[in-house]
Amino acid sequence: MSELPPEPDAGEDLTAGEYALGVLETRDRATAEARILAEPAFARDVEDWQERLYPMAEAVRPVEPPASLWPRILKALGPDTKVIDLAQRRAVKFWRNWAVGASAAAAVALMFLAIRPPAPPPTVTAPGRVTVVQPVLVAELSDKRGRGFITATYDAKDGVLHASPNLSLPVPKGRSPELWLIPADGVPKSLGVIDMAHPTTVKVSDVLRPGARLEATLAITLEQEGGSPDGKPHAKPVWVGKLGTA
Amino acid sequence: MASDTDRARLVAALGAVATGDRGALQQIYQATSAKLYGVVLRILDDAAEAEDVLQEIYLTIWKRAGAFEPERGLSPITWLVAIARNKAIDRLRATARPRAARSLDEASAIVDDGPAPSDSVERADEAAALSRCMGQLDPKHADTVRTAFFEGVTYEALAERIGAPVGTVKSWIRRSLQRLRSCLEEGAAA
Repeated sequence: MSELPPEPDAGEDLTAGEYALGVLETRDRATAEARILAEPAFARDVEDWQERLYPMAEAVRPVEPPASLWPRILKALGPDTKVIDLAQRRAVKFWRNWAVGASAAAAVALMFLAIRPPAPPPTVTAPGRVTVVQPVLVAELSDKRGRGFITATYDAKDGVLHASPNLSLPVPKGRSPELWLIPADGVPKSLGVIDMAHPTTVKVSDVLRPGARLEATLAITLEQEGGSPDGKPHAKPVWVGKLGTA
Repeated sequence: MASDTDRARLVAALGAVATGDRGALQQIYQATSAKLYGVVLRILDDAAEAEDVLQEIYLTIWKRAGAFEPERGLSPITWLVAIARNKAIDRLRATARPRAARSLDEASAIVDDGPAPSDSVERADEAAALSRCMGQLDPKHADTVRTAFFEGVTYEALAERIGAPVGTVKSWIRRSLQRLRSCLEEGAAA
């Protein structure tokens, strides 16, 4: 402790620390989140920074939330079936391994996402609280090298999603591009095979609609012809984007 | 040691939540909701919105508990705080609601550097080590880091508040991150 600390390296990439601290603006933040999925080393870096910085939260005064909140949460969980969904947990694992594989194969297009800076969603004021109205959501799915992108527009009102490639994107012979919705639970749900030469309209099923919301991820993989046979992805995502406000 | 018990209890509860155990989620809620609500409220500065986000946070914990891997060494409370901060920051960025900007001085006055009462001995030690390292930073830089952490604001917003160029604020924060890291590593090695 008697010596001065070494002069920090001004050129060091500190994105992981900046992400953990929370200073990145929306676009850089989304890019960092895509890297967390794609690069295990980066994900570990972020965790290390969280371990370093988050003890700061100890200094925040605890505030008891209103007593009405827990019953609300319980209700939002839905009926208590207490069934361990093994298929779902396997899928989580698969998705994680998948991300690991993506970083190993550097030549393979890594997922990076382009997201429009979100505009404030329309709000209506009801007595006592502000309700965020589900707006039309937009995601721009792109790969790391920016080789074209697909604009997805989702209208929560009728559950209809339009995916339009901005140019005809090449799909290898014998492969079908499949669109996935990745809601907050991180488990990819198939939205079906789409056309990379023309706009495709997808009706999001009622089961999946609650997951199609702000911050959910959309990804496209190249599956076997006709799409994944078992509803789970079998290839790395090539185009990825996040739903934001239009 | 009390801290080991707290930590072990949270880890066990997260494991149970991953199997669909609502009682375990309630345990986690009881043990952490006041802390996480405090964190979220500081970032959003709006009770109704903070409540809404807190609900989302526990639903996320419910869904993602299976992804928490204690064997990787991440502490459960860090994992929970990360979920809470990320949800609150996402909401803050999505709504871009103008908020009454507190000056840096005010922001640092709200939270003092002294180790806060903690229900975990280990956590309090970590907070004390961090606080010691924060004390070695240029006070203005330390205030900037604190404001960034407690309020979840961007570089741009920080720069506006301080009235300094974004580049300057970036270099303060980056330098502070590097210094904090080496100070904490030194402390851990000692």
